[in-house]
Amino acid sequence: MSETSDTQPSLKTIVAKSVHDMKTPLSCMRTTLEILRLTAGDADRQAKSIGILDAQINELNGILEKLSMSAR
Amino acid sequence: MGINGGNIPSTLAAPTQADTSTMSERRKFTDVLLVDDSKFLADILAMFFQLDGYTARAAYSGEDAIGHVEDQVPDIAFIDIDMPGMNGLELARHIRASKRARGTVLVALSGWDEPEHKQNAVAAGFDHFLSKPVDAPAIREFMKNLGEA
Repeated sequence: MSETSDTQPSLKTIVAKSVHDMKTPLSCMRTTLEILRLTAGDADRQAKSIGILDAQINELNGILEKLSMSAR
Repeated sequence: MGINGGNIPSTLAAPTQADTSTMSERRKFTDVLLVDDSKFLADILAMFFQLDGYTARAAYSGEDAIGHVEDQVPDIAFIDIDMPGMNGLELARHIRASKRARGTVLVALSGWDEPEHKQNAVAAGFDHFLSKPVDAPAIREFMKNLGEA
C-alpha cells in the first residue's frame, strides 16, 4: 500500500486498512445472527452469541473512532 | 478458483441429532478446521459448522493450526490470510508440504480481495478464496457448491 513522502500513511491507505479491519467483525456479526436464529431455546449458545455481538460492535466502534481521528 | 461469498437467503433450520448422523454419512467433508486470529470469528464459524452437523475445530494462529492438523488432519480448512506470526499463506504452504495433510481442501478467507491477493493464495496452495465479510448462508452455499449435502 502507498505511503506519503513523510512516512505518514496516506488517506487512501488508512481507508483501505479500515475497510479491511471492519470485515472480520462484520463477518462475525453476520454469522452470529444466523447462530441466534438456529439456536432459539438454547440459552447457553444464545448468551455466548449475544456476548460476541456485543464485543464485535465495540470493535467496529473502535475502528470507526480511529478512522475519525485520522480524518481530523 | 472458488466462489466468493454473497448474500444468500437461508432457509435451513437447525439439524436434529438424527439428521446430523445421516448427513455425516453422505458428506465428503466431516472434519472442518477454522483458522482466524479473531477468536470470535473462528469460534462462531466453528459453532455454525457444528450446528450444521460437522466436527469443527477452531484455531487462533498458524502455529495453533499446525498443532490441530498434526493431531487430526481436517477434510477442509478455512484459513484467514492476514494473521500475525505465521500467516495464512505460510500455513497453506506448510500444509501442502505435509504428506499427511496435502489432500486437505484449503479455503482462504481474506479481507483483501484484489486479484494479486487471490493469485498469492493460489500460489501458496489454496483451492478456493472467500472474501470477507463472509456469513453463514454464504458458507453453506459454498459447501453446497463443493458437493456437500
